[in-house]
Amino acid sequence: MNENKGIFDKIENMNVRIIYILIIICIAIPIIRPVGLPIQISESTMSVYDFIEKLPEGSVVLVGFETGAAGWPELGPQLNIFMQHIFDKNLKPIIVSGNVDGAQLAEMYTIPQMNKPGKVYGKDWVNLGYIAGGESGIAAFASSITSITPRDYFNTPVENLEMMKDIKSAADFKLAIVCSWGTPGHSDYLRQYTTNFGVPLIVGAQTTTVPGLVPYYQSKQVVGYTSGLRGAGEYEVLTHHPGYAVASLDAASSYHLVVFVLIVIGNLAMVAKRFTTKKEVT
Amino acid sequence: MSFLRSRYINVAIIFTSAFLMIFTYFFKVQVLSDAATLVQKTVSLFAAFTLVLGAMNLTLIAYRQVQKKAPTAPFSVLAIVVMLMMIITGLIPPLMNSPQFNWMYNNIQAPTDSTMYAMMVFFVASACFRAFRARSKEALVMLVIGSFIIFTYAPIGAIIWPGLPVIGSWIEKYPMTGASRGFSIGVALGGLGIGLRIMLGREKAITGE
Repeated sequence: MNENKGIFDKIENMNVRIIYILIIICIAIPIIRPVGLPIQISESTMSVYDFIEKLPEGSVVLVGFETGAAGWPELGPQLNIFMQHIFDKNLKPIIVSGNVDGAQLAEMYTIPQMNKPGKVYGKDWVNLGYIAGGESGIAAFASSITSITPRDYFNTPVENLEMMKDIKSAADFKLAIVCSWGTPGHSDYLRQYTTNFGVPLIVGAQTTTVPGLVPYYQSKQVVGYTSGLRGAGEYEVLTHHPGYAVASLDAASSYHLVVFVLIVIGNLAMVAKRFTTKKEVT
Repeated sequence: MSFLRSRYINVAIIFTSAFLMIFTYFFKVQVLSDAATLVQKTVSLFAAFTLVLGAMNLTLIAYRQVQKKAPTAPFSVLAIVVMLMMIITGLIPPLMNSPQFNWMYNNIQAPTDSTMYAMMVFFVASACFRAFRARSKEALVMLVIGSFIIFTYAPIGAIIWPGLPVIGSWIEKYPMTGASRGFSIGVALGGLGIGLRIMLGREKAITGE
C-alpha cells in the first residue's frame, strides 16, 4: 500500500522538467507534421468578416497596432490577416499605435507580407506612427488628426499625403480595428472612437482579454472580435489566405490536450492517494 | 508665493481639466471643445516626456548599482549600453528606420521580447498541473468550467465531442458575461467615485499633500 502511495505522490509532484519535455514534444510534432484539424468559424469572427465585406471600396479604416514584439505571436497573425482583407477589399487603412513599437512592427512584419498589387503608400494606406499619452492621446487624435500626428511614420507632413486630404477627424473613419495586449486597448478605442464619433469597432483580442470583451459584443458596441491565434486561423480560412495561424492551430490543439491530460492525471493521483491513505487508517 | 504653493492651484487645474472633458462630452461648444483638445494634447506631450524621465531614472538606478558594486551591476551596465545603442541608432536618418536600428530591433529586441512571452507556455502548463486540483467543490466547478473553455478555443475540442465548444460558448455567453458585466459596472462606479473625489480635491496624494 505504501508503495502505491509513493507512486501517486511522485505523480502529484511530477518533476517540472518532464512537463516541459512533454510540452516541447507536443508542440514540435504538429509543427513538423501538420494534421490539418478542421476549424469551426465562430459567430464573432463571422461578424467581423461580414462587416468588412460590406464596407464600400475606398472606405477609410483605422488599424491600431497596439502591441509590442512580445504580444506579436498572438496578435500579429490577426493584424496581418485583417490588413490583407482590407487590401483585398480596396479599403484604405490608417495605421497608428499607442505602443512605442507598434507602428514599427507594422512596417517590418505586416506591410512587406501583404499582397497589394498597384497599391501606393500615401494614396492607399498610411502609417501615422506612435501616439503618446494613452487614452488622452487617442482622444486628441480622434478630434483632430493633425493636431497630434502632424507627420507620418516616415516624417512626411500629413497634409502632403494624398489619402489624408479629406480625413480630418475620427468622424471620417468607417471602421476602427484594434489589436491590443494592454493599454491602450479596446476600452479606450470604444470610449474615444465608438462612443464619441460612432465609429464601428472590431477587436483582435488576446484570448485572456475575451471575457472582458464579450459584454461589449453582446450589447453591439463592438461589431465583432477574433480571439487569439484561433480567431486569426478562422479569419485566414474565411479570407482564403491560410497562413501562420492555421499552421499553428494543430500545435495549439495538441498543447491544450496535453495540459488537459496532465490536469486529469494530477487529479486522479490526488484522489488515489487520499483513497489509499483512508484505507491505511481504517 | 504661499498661495502658489497651496493645494488650491492643483485642485483648480484638476477641476478645470476634468470639467472640460465632462462638459464637452455632453455639449458641443466649440471654444470649450478646442480647450479640451488642447488639454489632451498637453497630456500626450507630458506622456512623451515621461519616456525621457524613464531613461534618466534607469540610468540613475544603474549608476547606483555600479557605485554599490552590486552583484547585478553588470546587467545594469548592459541595460544602459543597449538603451544608448537603440537611442543612437534610432537617431540615425531616416529617424527610427535606419538599417542599424532595424537590425537591432529585429535581431535583439523582437526575439528577446517574444522569447520571454513564449516561455509562459511552459509555466502555464506546469501551473495548471499543480493548481487545478479538485480539492473542494468550488475547485471542482472551476476545473470543469476551465476544461470546457480550453476545448472551446482548441480546434480539437469539436473533434473529441461537438458539444464541448457549444457548452463552452454558452458558459462564455451567459455566466461569464454576467460576472464580467457586474465587475465592469463595479469598476465604473468606483472610478466615478474616485474621479469626483479627485475633482473636489479630496484625494490628498493627487494634490501633492
